[in-house]
Amino acid sequence: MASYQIEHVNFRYPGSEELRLKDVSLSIEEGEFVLLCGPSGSGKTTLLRQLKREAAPEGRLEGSIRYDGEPLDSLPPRRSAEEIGMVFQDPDSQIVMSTVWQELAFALENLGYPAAAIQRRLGELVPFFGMEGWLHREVHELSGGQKQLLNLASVMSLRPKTLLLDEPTAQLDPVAAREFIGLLSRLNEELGLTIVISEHRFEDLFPLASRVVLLRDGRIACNATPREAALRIGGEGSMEALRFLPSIARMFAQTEANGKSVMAFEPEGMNPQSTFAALSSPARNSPAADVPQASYAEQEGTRFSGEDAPTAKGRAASVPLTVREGKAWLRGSQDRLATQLAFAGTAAASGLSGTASAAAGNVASSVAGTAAASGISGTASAAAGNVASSVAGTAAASGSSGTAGTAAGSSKSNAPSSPDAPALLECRELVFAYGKDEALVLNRLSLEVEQGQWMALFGSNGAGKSTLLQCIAGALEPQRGAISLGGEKLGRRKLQGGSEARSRIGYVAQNPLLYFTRDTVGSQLEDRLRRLGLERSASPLAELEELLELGGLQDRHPYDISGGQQQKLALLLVLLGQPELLLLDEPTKGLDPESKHRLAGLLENIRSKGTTLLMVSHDVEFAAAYTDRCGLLFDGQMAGLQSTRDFMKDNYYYTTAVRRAAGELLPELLTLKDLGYD
Amino acid sequence: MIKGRTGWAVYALCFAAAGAVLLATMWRRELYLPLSLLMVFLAMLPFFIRFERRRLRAEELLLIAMLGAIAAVSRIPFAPLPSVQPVSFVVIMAALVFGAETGFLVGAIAAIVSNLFLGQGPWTPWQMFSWGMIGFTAGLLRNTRFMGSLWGKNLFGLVWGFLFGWIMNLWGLLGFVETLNWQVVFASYAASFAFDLTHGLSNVFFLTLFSGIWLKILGRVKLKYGLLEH
Amino acid sequence: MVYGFASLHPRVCFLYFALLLSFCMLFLHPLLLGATLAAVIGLNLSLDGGRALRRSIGGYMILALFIFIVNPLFSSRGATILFYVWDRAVTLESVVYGALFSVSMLCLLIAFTALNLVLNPGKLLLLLSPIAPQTAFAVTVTMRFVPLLTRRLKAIMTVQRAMGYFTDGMGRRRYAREAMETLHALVSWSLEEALQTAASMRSRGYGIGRRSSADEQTMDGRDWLVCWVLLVVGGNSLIGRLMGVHAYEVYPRLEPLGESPLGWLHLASYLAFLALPLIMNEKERLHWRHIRSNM
Repeated sequence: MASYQIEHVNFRYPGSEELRLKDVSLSIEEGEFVLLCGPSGSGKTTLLRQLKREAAPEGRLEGSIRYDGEPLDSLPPRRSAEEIGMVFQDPDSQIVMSTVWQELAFALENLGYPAAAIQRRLGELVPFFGMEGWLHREVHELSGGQKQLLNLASVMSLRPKTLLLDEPTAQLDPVAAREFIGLLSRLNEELGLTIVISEHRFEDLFPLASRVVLLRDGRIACNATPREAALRIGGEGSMEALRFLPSIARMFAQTEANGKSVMAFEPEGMNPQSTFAALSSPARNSPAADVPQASYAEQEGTRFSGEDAPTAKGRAASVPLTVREGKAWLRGSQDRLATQLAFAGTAAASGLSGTASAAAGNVASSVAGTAAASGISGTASAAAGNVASSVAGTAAASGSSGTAGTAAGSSKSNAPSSPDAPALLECRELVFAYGKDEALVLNRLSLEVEQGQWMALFGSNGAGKSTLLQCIAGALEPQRGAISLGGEKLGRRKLQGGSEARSRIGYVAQNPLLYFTRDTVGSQLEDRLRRLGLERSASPLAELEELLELGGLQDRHPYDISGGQQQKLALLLVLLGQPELLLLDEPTKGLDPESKHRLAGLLENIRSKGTTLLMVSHDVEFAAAYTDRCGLLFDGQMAGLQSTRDFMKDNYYYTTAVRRAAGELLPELLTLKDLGYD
Repeated sequence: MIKGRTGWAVYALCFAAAGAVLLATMWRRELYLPLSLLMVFLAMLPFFIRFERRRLRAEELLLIAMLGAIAAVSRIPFAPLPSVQPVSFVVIMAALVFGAETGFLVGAIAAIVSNLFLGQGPWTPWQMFSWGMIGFTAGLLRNTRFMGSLWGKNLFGLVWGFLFGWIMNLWGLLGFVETLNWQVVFASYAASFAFDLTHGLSNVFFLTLFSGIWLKILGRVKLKYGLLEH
Repeated sequence: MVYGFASLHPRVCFLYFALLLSFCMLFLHPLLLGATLAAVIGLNLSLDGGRALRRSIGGYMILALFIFIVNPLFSSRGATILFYVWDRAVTLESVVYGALFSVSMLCLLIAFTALNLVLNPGKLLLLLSPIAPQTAFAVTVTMRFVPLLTRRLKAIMTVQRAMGYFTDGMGRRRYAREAMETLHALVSWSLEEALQTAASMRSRGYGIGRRSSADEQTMDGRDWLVCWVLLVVGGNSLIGRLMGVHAYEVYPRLEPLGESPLGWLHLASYLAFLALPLIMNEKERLHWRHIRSNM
């Protein structure tokens, strides 16, 4: 019995002609674990909310959504509330009661359960979620991860059959997110719950999902099992779609696509099938994935480009999704990747000049494949088989995305940073505690950031990352230690009247909403200019607006523009002060991979204009791809500050998935860029 | 919004009872304290009775709770300015946009909640009543020409700055002074004059500079919450 | 304290404090006032060692002192003239009256300190919810938002400081303007977020029907016993007072503190009332000490 039967659904918001969902048809079977992915604004949330009547946005819906055979609209309210549970993105905004216990009982109270029945249910629920220790705490004492767990538990108190989750881990740190996702997998496997989740953190979810639905501009662009989806997206070769694969699967898919184009020109070359045969461990399927997969391959498999269903199924089975599977696959294709790695390295290092062609002669074909796979210079150059032009193709491939290319270049070249480069920011022995009797957050922490660098600082929650940034920004005052910018010591807040050295530092908080005090974008910008004492014409406003693509929003309310635009608006407000040092607090939190990519381009651009960047983050993949130096904050101190490459190579846990898979097999392989995959 | 004859009847009855109790305190001075508390409770009763009988949408409930919480925490950013408190201003704004009953509830709940955090005292009911009444009266007058003008709003804020202090005086000084003569009343109000004036003037300051922005912010919320009156 | 006075059913605690607070307001007899003062201070000490009381006693003393001084200044009743201030007679009676009033107010305030220790917000809401469920729910939700909004305010102020908007040396008016900007960001943000909260509430069945209450503590045997004792001794004290026992007359001349047999009975029951929570708490303390010394 299908949980949901969605047929030809179109949806538009009131007062808008634009369709946010276009002809969406989807059938979700009982017990499935469906992962919805796609860029922000692609309609994930809109679709998900249509599946829960109480959360459905206002607007015009065409087509039909049936739940358990009945139209969703005609479901009795009680049944709708009990059977379909929904968890939203922000952990804080879903909690209504003061204590954990009250919040757990909230849903049951709403449905009028007597006290004894509530007690009975909670008695069972609390141990399942391991919440005994904090059952009687007040909710504001909980961490973000615990709050989200509480939200899930509160929904689960009604014993739903279907669970909808709208980016539930976007606001969590990686450890809490993994715990949350682990719990979802238990709910799916042990209770047979149907789960539909939209999420950008797919590295952990891909292996668990029984199906992946990729949305694009309100349309379903791909609907298949995770492994099939990886193959199909790899086959299409569209860069935007590729970013929605976990990096291991993406590495496979892109290399695999290369292999195919290699085959086209060198029939005696490596046979992709034999590559799969070399896989030492059979790919793991999550048990839940087995049931629907069969029915899926039947209807979907035939659509595979130019291949018959059984082959497609066989191939799909070998797609690696986890680090473990990736390792096994890498062992089989080590040689091929090694040459590619060496070549991509030289191509990037030679600064896109294309002169490396001679040295690369023997791997020409694979390079051609790279160019084709990144889908930018097209297949024409590859087909030519001409070494020089195909190298140019690679160069174009990495170069056409502009900033990303230079980032790849710089992350290579900076390895040992020159000792005589002037330090822009210097923090010496900072000591900070929030109160007399509280633990030290910063404990004699010292840090230097060089002019023009992009540095990332990692650290677990409570390691003092945000505190450090706020001290540098002047929002907090360290009890001891000195901070200097360009050799000039930053005065105590009390003494400095307002703007001097501090105004050369910009601080971008995680949440852009903290910056919005006016009712239109235009007046917000006016306000900022006025405070900076700048004339509109003399300010960099026009230039920045163009750079950040924020033109034409003057009359909009800051809350009515998209999340990405909000983030850029906050950035714009800070950049208007023309800071020399830009501090960023987890800039990639909750962003989809495409937005992350665009943000990276933007930040690169800002840096190229002479601004130094210091960010704190949990996002290892992002830092590995774009930053120069990385440091680890631990226990209030700097526990390691190295060039990004050395940092990632030295780390065992805190490193990219590709690195963890490649390990000692290909020690130089850190990110997909190293293979020339952009 | 107050609707129908029974609605008004409930209000009238409770206010009449409160008035009767007030008179009783004149005869039995030694019972002043308990009776005056009873009076305040009676005066607030109709609002809560009506609130209990309403079926609230989630948005309506959250609006009241959120505005109450905002009023309760609104003093935090003003911590370095001890005499300035924007609670009354927030309550007036809420009442002007969302009406008299919401205004009362926001004020009363803000008082309850800040006292739940700081500790209850004999002043709690009086504070509930004062802030509630600021909201209630602002809501009743919201469609008048008087409240439409900035002068009207400012006058309203100034007057309530004093009224607030006077009502708060009722529980303390008057309860513990043996003879209620004009001298005593005058003296106690003179004692709190500076404090009440600051309250009134800070109301004027906020209303002059920020009532426009707040009306816009809250008006947008009203639209988004689907709370427009038909 | 595990099973002391504070562990009684909230309704019993509430009954006790309702009676205690009305006695604070009703009694002016020096003997009874003195006993009340000793008892409420003792109650605070036995509840938390007097920590909460120490924090607020300063303010209370100033208020009490104020009342003590004000009364003789405005009232010249009474037969025993002590001295003159600005041609006004200050009488012994009016001084005593002011003192009694100020002690009565102290008792009231200190009793409230104890009340806040025993009936924490959770218990108060539990008391309210059967009478006014919707109000209790609204107050609970508001209480949940207060720490959340406080955290948000701090985050917004951090950003404002980093932008250089808040500096410590700025003038009062400018500071007030900036602080108001903080509120603007808070109001827009929080009311926008509350729409998300509304969706989450509805998703979990809010608004479908009458809410039930998960917290249904029943009164156990001990609760009923204490309740009956309270009704007997407290009721006796209250009715006695309303009938005129221990009504103390200051004017025109201080009344002597003689006790009638009926007065002794009244006093005894009032003392029993005051001692009840102290006895319960001390009994527990001794019990634990005993257990520890035997371990």
